[in-house]
Amino acid sequence: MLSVVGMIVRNRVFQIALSVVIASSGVALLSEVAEAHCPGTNASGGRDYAADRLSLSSNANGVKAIIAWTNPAVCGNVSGSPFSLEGTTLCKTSSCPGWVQTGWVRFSSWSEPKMYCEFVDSGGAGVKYFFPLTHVTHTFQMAYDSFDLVWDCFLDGAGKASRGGLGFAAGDYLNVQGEVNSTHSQIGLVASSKLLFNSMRYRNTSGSWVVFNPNSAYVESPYGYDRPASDQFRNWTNAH
Amino acid sequence: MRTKILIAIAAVGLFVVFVPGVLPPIQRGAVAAELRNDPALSGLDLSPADPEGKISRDAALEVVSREFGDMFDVSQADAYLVTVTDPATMRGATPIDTRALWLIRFTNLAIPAPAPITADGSSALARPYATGYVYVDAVTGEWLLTRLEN
Repeated sequence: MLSVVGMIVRNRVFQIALSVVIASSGVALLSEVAEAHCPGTNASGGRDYAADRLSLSSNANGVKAIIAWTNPAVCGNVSGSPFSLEGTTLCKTSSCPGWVQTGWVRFSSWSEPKMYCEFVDSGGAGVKYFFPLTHVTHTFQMAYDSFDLVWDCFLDGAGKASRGGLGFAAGDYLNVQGEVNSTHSQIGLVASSKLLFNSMRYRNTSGSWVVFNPNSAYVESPYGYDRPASDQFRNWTNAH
Repeated sequence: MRTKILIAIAAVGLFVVFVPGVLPPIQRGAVAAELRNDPALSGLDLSPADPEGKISRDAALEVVSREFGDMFDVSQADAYLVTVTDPATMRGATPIDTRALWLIRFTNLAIPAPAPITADGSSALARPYATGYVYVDAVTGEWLLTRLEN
């Protein structure tokens, strides 16, 4: 009996067939693992965040941060355009009746993230721009030009898009945020790695860029955050 | 004397009307009415384009599919070969300034707008984006930018 088994195992055709079966099983197992990260995926419009916030006692008219790059897993293949983003925001007030925001975003149908600049006026009407983005850390900035009366959006110090008529020229509420609209999509890096926001600054009405030191985290499960330094923030997705 | 003045005015008028190059090219009036009447494009300077070496409409739509996947249904695209000056980019490092583009428009979208988390923990009001405009260089096929409006 053993000699028969040995002959079969030594048979070249059998070995190849066995390899195919084992490989297929492995692929199937990996697929289940990937799927298991997105249980019951549904981009229903509900949002999850790993964010940090700061309410100011006086207005700011610019915000910027150096944000690391990754290509997050976005639970998708459903209606509603699931996305995952990392960005920084300046709102007119703490309830954000109007805002400007910039960073990067990946929608589920995209192969990788793009830069975005978003301008939303006090009435809620918005315009959003997407631009190509390379796979490295970048500086994202929004600032108001009080001479030309427009908000300017910058990538690594280079102007990308401008918009006026938003109904505000400054605001007293800032945030940095990772955001998804489909449960279990990835925010930041996967733990134990952490995605870094660095050199966070806002521009006061005197025109000086000062440290943006958020003090009010808003982080939902399964996400995490920390503050390695006064002008830094990190977020990530925990195993779940 | 008065007759001579009138003749001179008429002569100048005829010169301006019939000699090519004296008048600026007809711009907005020659662009498709759909673009001309789109309020979201009212700030743009648009004129017909036919650059040497231009890529085809289908090639431009392939660029859109490659960049955006099924976010945009290219079978429903309005694609225009136009020269564009976009004021929103003119202050930037890479302005869209009299550049020949495939300007590709998508309507009836419902792309969710990311929303800032507010101080009380609620999401800010964010209207979905209903219209998209994709700029593809008419010659190189480079995707330049995409703009969404709600």
